[in-house]
Amino acid sequence: MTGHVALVTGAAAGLGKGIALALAAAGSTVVVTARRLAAGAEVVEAITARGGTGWATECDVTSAESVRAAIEATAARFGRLDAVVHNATSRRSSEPVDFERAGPQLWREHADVSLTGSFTVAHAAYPHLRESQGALLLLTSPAGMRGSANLSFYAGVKGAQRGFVKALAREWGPGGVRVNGLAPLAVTPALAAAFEADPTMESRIADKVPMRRVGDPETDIGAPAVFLCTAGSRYITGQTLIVNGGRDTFL
Amino acid sequence: MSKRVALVVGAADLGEAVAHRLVRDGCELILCDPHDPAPAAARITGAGAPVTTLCTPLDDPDDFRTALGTTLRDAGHDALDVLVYTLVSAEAFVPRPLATLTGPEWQRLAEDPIRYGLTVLQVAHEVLAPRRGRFVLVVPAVALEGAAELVPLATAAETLRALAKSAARRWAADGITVNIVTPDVFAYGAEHLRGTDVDRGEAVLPGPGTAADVADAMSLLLAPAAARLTGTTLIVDGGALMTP
Repeated sequence: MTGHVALVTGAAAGLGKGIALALAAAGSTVVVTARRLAAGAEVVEAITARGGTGWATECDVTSAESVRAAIEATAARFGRLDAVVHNATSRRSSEPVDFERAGPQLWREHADVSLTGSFTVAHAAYPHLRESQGALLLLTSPAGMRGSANLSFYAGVKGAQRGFVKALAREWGPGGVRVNGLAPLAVTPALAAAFEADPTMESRIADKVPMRRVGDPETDIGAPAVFLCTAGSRYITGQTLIVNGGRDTFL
Repeated sequence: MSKRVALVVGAADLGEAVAHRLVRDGCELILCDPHDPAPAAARITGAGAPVTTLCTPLDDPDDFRTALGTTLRDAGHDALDVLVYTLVSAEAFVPRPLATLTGPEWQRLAEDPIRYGLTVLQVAHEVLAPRRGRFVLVVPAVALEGAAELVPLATAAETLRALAKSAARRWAADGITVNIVTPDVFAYGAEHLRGTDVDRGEAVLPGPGTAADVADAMSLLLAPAAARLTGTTLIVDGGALMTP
């Protein structure tokens, strides 16, 4: 994949880090974006240590200016942009919501990153993806398809991304730009903390997964993300790939 | 037994058709819209049934809670049996490539409509719980399959569908069901979209689907026989999709 340039949002840890490492291992030049530059730089160090190529830049996906600056800096530095992975999610994502009483601000905090963020990332990346016939990949969740009693706002914004992917895939298809979703189950830092607090939680989740384990961000989720960002998936668009060990077979 | 009390949010053509149907089914009706619902209400009243109107913004759940509470009390009701959400602005059906949208336009076309639907969903539980009522969300089927140049509409509709499913999970134990009806865009009167990407021409039933067809399908979800249905989506598209 000589010359393939991919940008990942929220890439300092968890799924974003796993996907960044997998993209680099597959030969992409990876732009690691994070709200804190130092955290992104650590991931680039890991990429470099394994013989890959990466570059870190600051990006707050809740700011259209910040998103645009990160994408334009990438294009200026590498001369192209082939894939954008919007992985960043609100810190609030894993907190249960009192749905009936939650104020507009709590919805805003969920929506800023996943919903408005999807728009601003897609909008800023479009001229470059059109030029490269590239791919946009959004990290969504089965919660967006099934709904969630406790993580109801998270389910809402993840559903948002699914509608967004399908419509935008139809819009950008004629220009050769692909738009897909990936709905993973993996041990993110938030989930790892939850497992620590509740030692039976991991097995409770794993029991519902036909493959009887919770995925790894790099080895289980990274590889399918690479596939959706690169030429092997060139005839796939508007789809959501569910990568969760068979947990949801009806979606 | 006293009459069922129904609230319809959204007084455009499709909401009006739903309201007509509910009146025909014997409901006492409240018609709500951020813009004046009185003309639509007058047409229904002219057909012989009194309609209460509520013109209120839907930006904030607390404000809506207060406004709805006042309207219910003034009309002599203590709760709702039925709440049908149909609100979609006419502007949402105007095709716009995503690349041409500004941030504020995205907010107005995609995110404000989500806010309005979420406001109503948040307040719905307390007014439906006393009578173990039913909620029906009506959103265009572009939520399910997308459509070029209608990204804000598809996004808003699919967000509300996910939120409605979440509500269905939360409220089932209280006896409240939440279901979804997804008509094609032409049932909303969006004839200008004929021949565009959203017009797949795949319906197998003859003739165009109408707002009244959607209202009739919606009423199935309110029948006693539908008590075991919740979180489900009824696709009213003349047999175009046939999935799942």
